[in-house]
Amino acid sequence: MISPTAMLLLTLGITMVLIGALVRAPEITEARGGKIMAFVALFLLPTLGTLWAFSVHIERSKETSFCLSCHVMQPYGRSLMVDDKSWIPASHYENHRVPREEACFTCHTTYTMYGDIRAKMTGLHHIWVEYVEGAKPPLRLYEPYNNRECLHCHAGARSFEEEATHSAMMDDLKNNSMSCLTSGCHDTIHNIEHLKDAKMWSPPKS
Amino acid sequence: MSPTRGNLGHRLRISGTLLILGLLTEIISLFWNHPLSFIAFAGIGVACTGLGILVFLWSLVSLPPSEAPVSRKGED
Repeated sequence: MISPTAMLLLTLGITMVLIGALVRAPEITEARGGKIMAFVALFLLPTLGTLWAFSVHIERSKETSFCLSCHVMQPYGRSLMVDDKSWIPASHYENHRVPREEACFTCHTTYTMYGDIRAKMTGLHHIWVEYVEGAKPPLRLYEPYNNRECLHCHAGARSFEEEATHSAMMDDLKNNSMSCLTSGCHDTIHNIEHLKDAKMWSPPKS
Repeated sequence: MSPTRGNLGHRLRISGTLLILGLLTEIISLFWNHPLSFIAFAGIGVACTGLGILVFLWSLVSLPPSEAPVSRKGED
């Protein structure tokens, strides 16, 4: 079956052919059929095609490979391959607790009504920083990591809810007064300063 | 082709050229999953496509009244 991206490329290609015909012979717009063709080729199809392509680009920007294509993010990508389950991002990535192809986005979006839009706007700012201002490591989050992002998946999970420490402090975790990451429980995150000493995991070749 | 038709044809050519440039950039950007391809898409592709559409719409609304579709007898 033809993929959506191939369909989009086909649509854009057909649009270009129609526009090419109009550019070569604009007098065809004198006929009624030519007017309709001009409206479709010069307005309708480019508008729809551009919106469709925008949507494809936005979806692609969620991909792990997209985030890691910036040089400054590469150590963070390597930290996903550490062979140590106390490294939170690595244990999530390696054990499929987050989808590998959208690992960064899954943990670094905000699970609120406009979280996706906010993440996209932040992403645009990151592009600006990477190519205009120049990113200066070490990178910092804009605001402390919110437990909401952890609880989006873990809340309601039996192994999480029945664990004695979690259940004892559930209210504090839910109202964010105790951080999952910085309260001393799960504090080994990307930890890129110690990456060179870490043992790395290689996924088996399929 | 009358002079005004000539103007319309000229504007359609400008619009079409901008649209082809914009759509071509959009197509190329889809083959590369990188932040720079998004910049090219938004900065060149969307800009040229948007401008091409605006030129087309402008060419429609700036047609002189004599070139507007003639109403059929008895409709006025």
